[in-house]
Amino acid sequence: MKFLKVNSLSFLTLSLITMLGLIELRAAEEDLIYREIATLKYDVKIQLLWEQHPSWTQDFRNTMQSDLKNRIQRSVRDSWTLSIADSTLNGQKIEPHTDHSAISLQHKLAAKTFVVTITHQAGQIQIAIREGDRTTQQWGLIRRQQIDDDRFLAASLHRLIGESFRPVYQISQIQRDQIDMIAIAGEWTLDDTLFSCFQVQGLARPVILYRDLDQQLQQIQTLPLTYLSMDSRLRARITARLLSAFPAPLGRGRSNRVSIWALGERPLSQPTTVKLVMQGAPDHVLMGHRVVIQPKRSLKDEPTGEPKELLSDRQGQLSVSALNSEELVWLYVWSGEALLARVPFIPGWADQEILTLPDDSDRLKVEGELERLRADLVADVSRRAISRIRILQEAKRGDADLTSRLRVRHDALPNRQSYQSRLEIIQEEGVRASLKSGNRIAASRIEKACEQMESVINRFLNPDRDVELKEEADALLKSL
Amino acid sequence: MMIRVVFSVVLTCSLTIAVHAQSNEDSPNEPTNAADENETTAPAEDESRVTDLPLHEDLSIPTAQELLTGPKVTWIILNNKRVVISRPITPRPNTLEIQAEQLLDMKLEGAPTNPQKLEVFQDRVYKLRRIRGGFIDAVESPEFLILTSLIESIWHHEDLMLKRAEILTAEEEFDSAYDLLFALRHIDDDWPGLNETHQRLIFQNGIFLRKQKDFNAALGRFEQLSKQNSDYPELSQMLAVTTADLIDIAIAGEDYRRARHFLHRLGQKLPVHPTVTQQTDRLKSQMQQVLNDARSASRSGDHRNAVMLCTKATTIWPYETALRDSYLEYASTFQILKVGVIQPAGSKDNYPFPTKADLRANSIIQRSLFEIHRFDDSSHYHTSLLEQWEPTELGRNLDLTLQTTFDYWNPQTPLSAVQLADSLRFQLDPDHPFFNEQLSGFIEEIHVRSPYRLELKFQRTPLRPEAILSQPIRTSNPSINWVAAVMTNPKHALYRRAIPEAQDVPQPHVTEIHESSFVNHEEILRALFRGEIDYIPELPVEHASQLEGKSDWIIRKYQIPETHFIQIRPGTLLAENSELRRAMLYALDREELLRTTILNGAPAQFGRLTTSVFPSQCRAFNPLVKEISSDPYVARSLTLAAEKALKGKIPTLRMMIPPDSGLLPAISRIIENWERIGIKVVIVTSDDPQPENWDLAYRVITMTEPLTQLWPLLTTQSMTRVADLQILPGWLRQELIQLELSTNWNDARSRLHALHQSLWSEVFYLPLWEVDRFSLARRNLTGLPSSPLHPYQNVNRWVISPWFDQSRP
Repeated sequence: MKFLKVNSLSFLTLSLITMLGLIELRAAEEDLIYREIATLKYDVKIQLLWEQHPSWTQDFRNTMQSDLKNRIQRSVRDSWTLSIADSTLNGQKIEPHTDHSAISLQHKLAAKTFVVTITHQAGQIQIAIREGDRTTQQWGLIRRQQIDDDRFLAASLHRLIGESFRPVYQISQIQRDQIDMIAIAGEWTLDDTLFSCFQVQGLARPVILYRDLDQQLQQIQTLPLTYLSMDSRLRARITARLLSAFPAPLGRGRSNRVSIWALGERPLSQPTTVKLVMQGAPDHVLMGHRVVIQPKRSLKDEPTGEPKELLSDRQGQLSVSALNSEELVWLYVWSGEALLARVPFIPGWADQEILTLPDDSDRLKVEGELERLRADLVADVSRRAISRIRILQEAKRGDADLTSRLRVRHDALPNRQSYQSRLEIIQEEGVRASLKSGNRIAASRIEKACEQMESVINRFLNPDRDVELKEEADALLKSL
Repeated sequence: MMIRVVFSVVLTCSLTIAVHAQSNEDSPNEPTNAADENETTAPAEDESRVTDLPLHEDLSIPTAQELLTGPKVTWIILNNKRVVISRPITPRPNTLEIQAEQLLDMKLEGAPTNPQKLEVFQDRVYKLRRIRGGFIDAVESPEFLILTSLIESIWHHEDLMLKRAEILTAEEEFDSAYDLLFALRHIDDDWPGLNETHQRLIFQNGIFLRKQKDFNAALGRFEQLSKQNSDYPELSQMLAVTTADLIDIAIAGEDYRRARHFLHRLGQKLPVHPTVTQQTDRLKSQMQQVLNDARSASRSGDHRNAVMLCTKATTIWPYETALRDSYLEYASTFQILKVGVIQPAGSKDNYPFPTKADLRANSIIQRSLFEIHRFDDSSHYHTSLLEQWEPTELGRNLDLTLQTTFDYWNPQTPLSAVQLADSLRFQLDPDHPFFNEQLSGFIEEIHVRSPYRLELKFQRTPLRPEAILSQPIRTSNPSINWVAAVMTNPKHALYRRAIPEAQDVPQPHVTEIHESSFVNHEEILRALFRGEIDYIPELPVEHASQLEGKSDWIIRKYQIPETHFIQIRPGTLLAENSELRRAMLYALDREELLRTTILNGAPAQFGRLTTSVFPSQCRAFNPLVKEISSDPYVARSLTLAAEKALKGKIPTLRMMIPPDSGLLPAISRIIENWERIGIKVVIVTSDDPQPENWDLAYRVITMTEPLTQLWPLLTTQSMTRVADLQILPGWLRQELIQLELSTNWNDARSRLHALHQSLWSEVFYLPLWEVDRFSLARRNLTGLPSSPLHPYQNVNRWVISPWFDQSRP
């Protein structure tokens, strides 16, 4: 027994030591990762593409390039390794669907590419800029600006590059919706907040990189309608909240072959088109669905402004823009009285987002039928009430004949049974159709709505009241 | 001497009263002469009562009010100018003369010898020598007798009325005078002096009215007098000058028919009066002058002016053969269709929906690629702009080949494929004012294959491509339509062919349409009977039933009846409270309302109750939907339920009504029905400033294509936009969307039937009734479709045979 006890104790001690050792090892590994990520410098290449213009001579371009470099270096200090390339625009475009072939990205940790086109149009200088992140191989949003004097070119470019710059974070720990992440080059403190890796209430979106056994990148996955909202910073460690339309979209976190990164981005002040499509049938767009937009940071928060209601158009689309200067909004998609989806959304982060929704047509049909049933019920309850009053009046007068005739008419009015039969048919057809299309949620909602309606029917068409009426009328007639 | 006479009257009165007080049966038994002597010489018993009698000169004739409402009195004027005011006496009129005559007759007969007869004779003589009267306010001894020899004259109540009427006439208080004479005629039509006084009154009244420039009324008085006494002094002169005044005014207002009317009236009274000749010559001369102008216009090739002038000449003096010949020539060359309506197209009002006037205008001005030409249980389309159209790729594409040549009666500049493509592109461009969201949901691409060939590629196959392409063509080429001329007069609208017919066509057709506004449908009918208009596009059913079968008129029944319903504005309190809507439906006794206010005696088959906005003959109409019978008790109960839900009284609702006075009785009765259950509704007419929020609207529509027209009707918008559905419940929204997405007829029909049932059960609108529509034309208008769809259907082929009214007005 003692032996056993000693052995048990030894085993526990051993396990504890092993665990402590593992924890220590893990902490050491994390510390290593932290140092590796947080002290890493961004390797940034800015590619300036100039349209040919008499006033943009090589001297001018060189001067501007030098001015820009100085400005950026003052902002980023040693956190960037900057190089600026200069060439003449030769048909390249910064457009959402054409740039991938024109300007490709290769995976390289902490490397950034800024493609800048500078063109001249109708006496105005048009600047378009797009950042490419080589860690996640993701292109950022195109930012444009129009200026009328090329002396402001360097300053404008400096600001646009700052706005386009998307800090990169490695997600180190996931605890439910609490996310810890490490910012690349986060150990550098920068005065210019435009280039800083942390913004209060800043937003980032996660990207999952999958590697094979040889650590070769196999797949990059972006997560729709999933965002990270930054709360606090300790050096390069950043705490954020996970906001997503999906439960646990990031899984348990990183592993040997899976690394989760995040890209911080500032949304553009332009609306995003949200397209509603049916689950399992992406070609089937959902027209006329009511979407309520609430400006708030997290689901539990109170809205910071008035909600806005929109309806999806014939293409199943609606244009969502930021409300009340809140970058993040929540979309509540309704189908009649039922909430189909509740998703966080950042307008201006993409031209279009697709929201997949279940087919609710069967439940909606039932909702309409229940509405009609309710309307008929109200009228019939009124009719029964009036009939009841008349029967009692005539009974009080002692007119047994008329009382009897009125009672026959009263009994012929639709009663609980007839309403229950109607309800049963509605429920049965609705549930059957929902189950046939594999929508169990709709079927359960139909059952619940029908149950509620049944209780209303039972309440207002209680057959006991008819019995009471008969007794009361008989008593009145006898008393005379 | 005078005082003594008065004393004797008083004495007689006192004695008589005393006699009556003792025995009303007793007659004075005394010799005739002795009695006279006694009475004339008897001393006074009560001098104070003599002075109580007023002097005639101090009395004024009672007022009209006193005479009409007070007690009837008779003035007995004595020789001494004192007046005894008595109750009415008999015999009357001419009391004194009658009694004197009877007395004379008795004297001539002589006294009888038989003592018994003598007594009767004496009693009768006694009475005939006296006037029996009665005091107005005496309680005791109310009666008296006065010797006729003491009486100068007797003014009966009727005489007093005449005298007051004379005074009132002199004071130009004609109404009171008429009242008195009317009352007097009621009492005794033959009263002496009544006719003379009445004639004087009419004449003076006529003169007064003429002075007041109310010539029409003055003429009426003189004509009335002429009937009573055509020889009344100066009457002929007054008739002539007053008629001349009226003719002057009518001619100044170019109302020649009215001028002829007065001339005709004068001619009937005074056929040979110089004024009749003068005015006839005047009108003839004016007619001739206008006719000459018309001929000049015709010679110079201005056919429109020629026919307008010639038409004017027919209104001035239509009885000349030369005029008839010219009119036939000009009116058959340039044909003008004159139409009578309540509201002409283009007139501004605040009614939030298209009115009948708007629909009429659109039907003629706007051209669509496809137009409905027949309706049985659904619409059948045709097109005059396409030579050929063919669906390809299982309906995903539509190949259109445009017409390049047109019939002579329908001259047009051909619509090119580019123009049509532009028109469609405008409707597909969300930034263009003509953007049509529904069309943009169907058309994916437009390819112009050749100058007159176009191909449409649909992203979704429409169930009826014709229905979605029946929107008006929006093109910069204006010459494919009729055009509306800008009118300065808001009571008229004018449309003319954009491209007139050639001069040498075998049969000219209608070139212009003139719509004139009238106050009500009765006025329109009158204008048609007078020849002022040729066509009534909207004829009330009661008139249609009266005129049906009359050979002078062409009555056409429209293919689709009009549906009357009450629109509920989405988003309002009413739209959100189904109990209240149901209460309003239950409160209406629609059957009775239809019979008494809409059909107005027309046969019952001309109107029927409905449960939908779809025509009952349409396949979208669900025949299984049950009618709801009126039940004010249930309505009241539902109103109380609505009030409970609202936690307070139902606010006053505002109802917009269309600019058609013919509907007012029905609308007023509907509002009365609602008021009975405690729902107050006020009318907002189309002339009132538009209220910010209306709740209800009385609407009259003809729904030809429920597939595309139900959606905008429910959203109260002119276009089919998804965003407008936001105000509707989710299930209804999806039902409408699914209806639009229907790809086969069975699906569409079952959805429409379900919608019919749902909209009726939920009372999204209050369907009232469906009424047949009719148009009425004179026989000289040919080419009208036997069963039209809209008022100006095929108007390009209508022909008007020249005709004008030559009857005496």
